Amino acid sequence: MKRMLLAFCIMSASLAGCGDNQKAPAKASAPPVSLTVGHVGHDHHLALYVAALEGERFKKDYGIYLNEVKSREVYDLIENGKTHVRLRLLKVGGGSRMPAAMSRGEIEIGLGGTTAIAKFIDSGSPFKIICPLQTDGDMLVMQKDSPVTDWASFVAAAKEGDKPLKIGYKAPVAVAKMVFERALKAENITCGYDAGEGKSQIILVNFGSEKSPIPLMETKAIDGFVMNQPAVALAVHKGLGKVVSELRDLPPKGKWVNHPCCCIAATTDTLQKHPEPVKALLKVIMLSTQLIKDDQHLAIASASRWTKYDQQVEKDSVPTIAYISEPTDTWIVGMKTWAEMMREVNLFKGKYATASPDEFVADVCDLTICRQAAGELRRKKLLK
Amino acid sequence: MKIPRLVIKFALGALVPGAILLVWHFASANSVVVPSVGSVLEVLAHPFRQPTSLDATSLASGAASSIVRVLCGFSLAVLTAIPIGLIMGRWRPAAEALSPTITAAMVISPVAWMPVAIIVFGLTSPATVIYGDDAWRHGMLDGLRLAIVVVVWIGAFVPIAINTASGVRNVRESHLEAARVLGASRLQMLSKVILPGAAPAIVTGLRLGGGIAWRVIIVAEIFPGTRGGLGYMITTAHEQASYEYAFASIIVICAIGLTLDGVHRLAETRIARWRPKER
Repeated sequence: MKRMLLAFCIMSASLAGCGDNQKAPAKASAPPVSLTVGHVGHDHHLALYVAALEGERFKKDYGIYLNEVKSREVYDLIENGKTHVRLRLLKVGGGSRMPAAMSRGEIEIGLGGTTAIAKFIDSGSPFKIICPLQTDGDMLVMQKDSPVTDWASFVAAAKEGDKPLKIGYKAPVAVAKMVFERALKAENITCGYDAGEGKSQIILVNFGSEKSPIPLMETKAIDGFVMNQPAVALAVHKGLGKVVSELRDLPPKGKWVNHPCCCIAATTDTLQKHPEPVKALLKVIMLSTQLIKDDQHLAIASASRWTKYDQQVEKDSVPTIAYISEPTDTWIVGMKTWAEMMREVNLFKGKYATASPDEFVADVCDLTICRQAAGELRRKKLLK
Repeated sequence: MKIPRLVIKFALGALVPGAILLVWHFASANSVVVPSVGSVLEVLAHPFRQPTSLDATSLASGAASSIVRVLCGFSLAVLTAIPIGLIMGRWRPAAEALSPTITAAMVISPVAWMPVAIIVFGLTSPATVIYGDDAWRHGMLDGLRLAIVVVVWIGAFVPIAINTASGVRNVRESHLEAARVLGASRLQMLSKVILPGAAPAIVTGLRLGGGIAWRVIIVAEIFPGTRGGLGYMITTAHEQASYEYAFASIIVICAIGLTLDGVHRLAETRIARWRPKER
């Protein structure tokens, strides 16, 4: 009996050490600063993944790069030979999971959804949005055999159909769900969460953070879903759904064009104690975003390499996402729109409950380091 | 010709899995969600291969991570639950003090403790305690997130403690009396009478606790920052619609569960062999 248990333990321990094709950890001496960066693992955060995968290119072309210490997990951020910081990348999940992990002190910098982050800051979490990552990339997908082909026919089907349409979403504060709900309101379409109530024209079905809508689509438990990429491209790739509308095109007309989706946030403590490493990270993100825009093939290949989604899925997904790394005027307007909307649906219960959109943007964002990073890169003619 | 008993036993045991396999085969024919039996066998045949369509470690590495996490949580449960069960079984005030808490814990799903464990332990692992920022260098230790281990521990602790206490309480008074008359010391009473008498109940508790520990780990491995483990693989396979990995993980879990159950049964038979069979 004892021998069996011992053999079992030894087998388990030895197995856990093998089977990984990843590089053995390099024995590099640790830099003075170490920061943990939370991310979700899908292509909205491609700027980080391209930087991690293309270290050699960045080193040659820009002199600032991520040096791989342990593949997909640990990278040293080096600028002109000086190691700024050791970054530990941690996949923490989407929706509220990233800001939740940040509020628990598990990560110092996080890539995640703007609305979820704003909600945490509203309730007192000490962090700031420091840089936008991307806009758009959210879509309404319907069953492949559905007669709905565009937003107008969707509205008609919702208003005139015998039964309410069941539309899935991934999280209550997901960007896609919030845009969709507001668009329904603009079209005077009633929506609810209970199929039994019999009054709603649309029933919203929560299928859980980052879970796939694919099984619900195959079993026709839902008529469609609103979600971000690459889930949309995956449903199309699997032959289960078709894109009916990009959410940027939904009513009120023009309101959702370039709507802010994911961004980078950091704890105020990190911003105060380590501004230089944060600035260096933002420089890498900016250069990476530029590379994504300039070389779509590389972007798609990198997305597939990191997320492990099929290259065809990323080919459909990446071009629909607008990658940005500097706060544009439309992005600021989009942030103000979020402020109005989140207040209207009572998502803000803390300091933003009574704040004006301008006050919201001024408080929720700290774009100083972002602007400094962009300025320095432009002075060196590295950023267009 | 007489069919050997073992063959009959195997054939009967294979009936339900065979039926499931058949249903699975037909279900996969027209589905993009249900993977083909062949694609799952392909994953199982190459357990050390890095998944090509999934952000996860290999199946073997994931299985090993889960096994190690379960072993740690389960071992902690054994080390704590058996002594507490012994005390509860022998000392009435202890039973009265602890029973309400343990009974209450029994009705709460161990997974419900996950948010509490995450708040208390965060990303702490033995590696972060020992090595700090260099924890990532020690993948095995770093994967042993205390939050996960503690949830497994809670899951396994309750049935082991309850069964141990019940087993100790049911040790025949005549056996205790006889040992006392023969001048047995306290230690001898414990090692020669109480523990052997309670052993079948303890082993039943271990079996139940082991089963719960396995069920818990699958859910607990969605913990932030986890990149390995069978639970992680199932969740990620669901996210990325690579269901062949989810099915392969489920089969591996079944195989590990059956093996563990076999070990427990063997232990039960050996430990209880001195007991006279009921007529």
